[in-house]
Amino acid sequence: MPNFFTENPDIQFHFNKFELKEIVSLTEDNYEQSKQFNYAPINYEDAMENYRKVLEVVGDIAGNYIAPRAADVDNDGASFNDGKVAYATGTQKNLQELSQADLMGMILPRTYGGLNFPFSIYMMAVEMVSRADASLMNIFGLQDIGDTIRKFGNEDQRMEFLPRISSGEHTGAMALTEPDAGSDLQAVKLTAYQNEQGKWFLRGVKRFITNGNAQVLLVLARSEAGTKDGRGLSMFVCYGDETVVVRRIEHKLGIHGSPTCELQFNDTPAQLVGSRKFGLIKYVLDLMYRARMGVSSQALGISQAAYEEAVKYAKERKQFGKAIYNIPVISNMLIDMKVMLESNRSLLYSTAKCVDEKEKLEDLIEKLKAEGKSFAEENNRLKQVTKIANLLTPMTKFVLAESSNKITYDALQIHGGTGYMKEFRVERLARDARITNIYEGTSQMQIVAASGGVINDVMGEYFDEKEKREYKTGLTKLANHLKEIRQLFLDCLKYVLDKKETSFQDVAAKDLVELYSYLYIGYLLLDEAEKEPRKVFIANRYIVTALANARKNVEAIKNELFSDLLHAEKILV
Amino acid sequence: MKKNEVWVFIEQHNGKPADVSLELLSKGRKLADTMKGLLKSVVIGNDVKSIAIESFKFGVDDAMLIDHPELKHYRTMPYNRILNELVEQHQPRVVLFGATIIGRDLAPRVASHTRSGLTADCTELKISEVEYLGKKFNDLLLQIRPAFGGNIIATIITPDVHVQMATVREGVMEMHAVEKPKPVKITEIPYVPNEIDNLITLVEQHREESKVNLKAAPIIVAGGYGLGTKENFKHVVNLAHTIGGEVAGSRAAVDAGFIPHERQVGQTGVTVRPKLYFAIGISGAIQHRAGMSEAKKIVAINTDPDAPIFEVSHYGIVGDAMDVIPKFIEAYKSRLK
Ligand SMILES: Cc1cc2nc3c(=O)[nH]c(=O)nc-3n(C[C@H](O)[C@H](O)[C@H](O)COP(=O)(O)OP(=O)(O)OC[C@H]3O[C@@H](n4cnc5c(N)ncnc54)[C@H](O)[C@@H]3O)c2cc1C
Ligand SMILES: Cc1cc2nc3c(=O)[nH]c(=O)nc-3n(C[C@H](O)[C@H](O)[C@H](O)COP(=O)(O)OP(=O)(O)OC[C@H]3O[C@@H](n4cnc5c(N)ncnc54)[C@H](O)[C@@H]3O)c2cc1C
Repeated sequence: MPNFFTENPDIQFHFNKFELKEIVSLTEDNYEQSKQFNYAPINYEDAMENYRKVLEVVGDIAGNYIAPRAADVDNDGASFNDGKVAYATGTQKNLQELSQADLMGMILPRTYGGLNFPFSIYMMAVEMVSRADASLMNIFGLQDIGDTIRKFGNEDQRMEFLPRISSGEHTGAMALTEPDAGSDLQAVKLTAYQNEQGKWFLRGVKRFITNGNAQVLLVLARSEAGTKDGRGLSMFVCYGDETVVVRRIEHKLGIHGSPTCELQFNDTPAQLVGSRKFGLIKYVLDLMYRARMGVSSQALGISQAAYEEAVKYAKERKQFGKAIYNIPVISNMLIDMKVMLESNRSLLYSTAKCVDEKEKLEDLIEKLKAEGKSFAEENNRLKQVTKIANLLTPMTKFVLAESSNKITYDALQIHGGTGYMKEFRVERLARDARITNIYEGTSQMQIVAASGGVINDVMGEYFDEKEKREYKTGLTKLANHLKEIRQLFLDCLKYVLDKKETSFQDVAAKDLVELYSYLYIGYLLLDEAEKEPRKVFIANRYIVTALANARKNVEAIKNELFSDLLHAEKILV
Repeated sequence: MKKNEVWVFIEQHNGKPADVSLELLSKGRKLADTMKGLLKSVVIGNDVKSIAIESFKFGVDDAMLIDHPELKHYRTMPYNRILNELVEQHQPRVVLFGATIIGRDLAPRVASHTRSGLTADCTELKISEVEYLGKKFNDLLLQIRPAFGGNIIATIITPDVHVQMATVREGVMEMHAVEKPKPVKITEIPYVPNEIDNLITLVEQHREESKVNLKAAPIIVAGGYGLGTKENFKHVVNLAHTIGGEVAGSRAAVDAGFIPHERQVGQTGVTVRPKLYFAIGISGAIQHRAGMSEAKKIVAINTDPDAPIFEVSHYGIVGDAMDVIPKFIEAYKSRLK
């Protein structure tokens, strides 16, 4: 009876060390909510206990119900007949069970039938669901569509859409991408127009829409005729009624349980969410924080599943008279996987907390504004947190998605020829992992998004603080390594900036972002190592490897590996 | 001296003649007239007398009919044997076949057995008197076709044999019924089974529509999802037929079932470089443009003035396809008058 929560020591570690006091207090209006809802927590301990209970339920459903169906879901896939999309039987059961357990509105307020959970806790649930069946995350994890309506919609819209999302009666989809607008969403063409009564309608095509058959669609559309860039776009919410035609669903490498739809909007009645022209520049960018985190959790869940498979197989499989687990190169790979997995988890939950803080501060400021109170102090903090969230979310998605690909591939390798066979889970995991570095912005776009923060060294002060600290004797060596990486980073940064050549900066961005991620993750692990002896091993391998990699990144930048870009035509013949 | 005869092998499937055979009859009539000879159709099959009769509409003087249950479906052995015997016995001057799978199977066998001249995939056929190596030849068949990858047009003659053969692709010759058909005169030729005929027996026949060759088409009329329904899509087909183009479409049109998949133009469909490309009700997503943007002339018809297709088109018409296509057809027809 595997429970993906109680039986995962590393999730337990993070849950237990979560410092969410302030976040929970903000989420619960300083526990005022308990007066209105008798099931709301009365204090921090009560809240955490509540979260733990719910996560246990998620862990149970994920491990005992969802995971066993995943192979069938992958095999059956979502299907498309006569213009209608149908989930695989397993997916239908999964959604039914998650709805029955009241889990479809985890982060939505209680007024709208939600559980009012902090985002960080929700991310744990998403990780576990993804570990069980990555494709299910694409429906379960679309709860933040509801959250976006909550944040930017008006009260009528909240009342109209959110309760049904919470109950699982409605699922959501986020319709941004079009045939000619992928990474570059400024090119979105789908038009929104108004009739004489001012009612909005949508007309045009979207493609690659996960769960595009959903009942509630959040659509990015061009509301300002004649405009060409992001400032002419607005956000709309509409129903997937008969005016929304699913033209096809894609046949794809992985996540077969999640239908990827091409949608045609034929004068679909819609409601404007928030204000005109802010669709891309505000709402989509905001949605991205949570959506990218969702994909990061998905990537982590897949990695966890792959790691479990690899360890299990390595213990069972005997060659040369012993379990391959005992062959040094194999145990070395397994340790690498484990280190990557745990360092990824540290990054994910640290970033989740940061996003949570940003969200809750925003809510608080809205509230203070409405009450006519001053909010200058909160606003300053928000600015600071937002800067960090702007750096950490894309960095997290980049690191976790790429790791997930690496971990699943190595897990497959450990299975040898068996891994290539359909009978074992690991080939599915490798296929499912492959999407995580593509959607919600490709890894390249995450680097672009993170590089601003890296070039401005927004964590500079944080690193300064860390460098000043004394660590336990055994960890001093590692702390010194991190200092060295910092030095390498700062040198490179100067080198790149002195070049004053933007194309060079663009290409060097990947190495710089990586360097920065080694530092940030390195310090997270160092802190953890102080608290938990087992983590010393994780921190040690991570940081030692990071130093070696950092030197590689430096070589690439300083040797001007990229100067051959100028000769691309000659090379790419 | 034998009468100059032009024969056309009439290909049939389940009792229906192939279009290309009727096209060849129309051409054959002209060739026969030039030679002051006779046009004959050769119909092999089962229950196909009606085809023999139908061939008279296209100017046949005489039809040869070999009708037998064993000949219902094309099989190489008996068909080949029958034709060999007929050609050997009657020594026609010209024999024409469609450049179909069957024609390509049959023609070279008959030509080789009867030591006749044969050119495949002719695009034009003529009868002429030719002086060659100091000798005059009457009624030679000029077997004209592109050669060397289409860089030259070759005229091939086979002067030192009496029987001259050619295969021609579908749609190359024009099909037209004659005004005054000759009275039906059918020569029924008995089929005498031979044991070698059954060396290969037909177990089951499964036919799919022939694949189109969009790549080679000089004119393509492509429709997209903007046509809305399969019914509306017929306008696109009509335009294609009027101006002698091939019909094609976007992936969305294929997904919607307006046209079969082999006619999809684009990144995952066919890449085409026609002289003229119509994009009607096609938004011009990059995946579609990748397959057609190198067309010499692109005409786009779209209701949306901002549709990306206009970025690559030479002529853009902003308007409803349902209004614009009929106008095009009309204009084209009045030009032809
Ligand atoms: C299974 C699946 C589900 C999806 N679900 C959704 C959904 O629910 N809603 C939705 O709106 N979209 C969805 N998408 C779309 C997804 O977000 C896009 O595919 C993705 O953002 C990439 O866009 P693109 O495919 O057009 O690639 P492109 O943008 O054409 O990118 C091609 C390549 O160029 C690189 N590139 C492009 N621009 C830059 C740049 N400026 N700098 C560096 N590199 C660059 C990319 O990294 C990539 O390697 C989904 C896609 C898939 C495959
Ligand atoms: C992996 C992949 C491969 C692909 N490969 C291909 C490919 O090979 N070929 C391909 O074509 N596509 C391909 N696509 C699909 C491509 O992205 C587009 O979805 C597709 O080309 C759109 O087809 P469309 O222009 O017919 O439809 P739409 O995008 O729906 O455009 C319809 C157009 O018709 C116009 N319209 C509407 N009504 C009328 C009217 N009454 N009169 C005139 N105009 C009207 C509209 O303004 C619109 O511009 C591929 C996609 C993927 C993901």
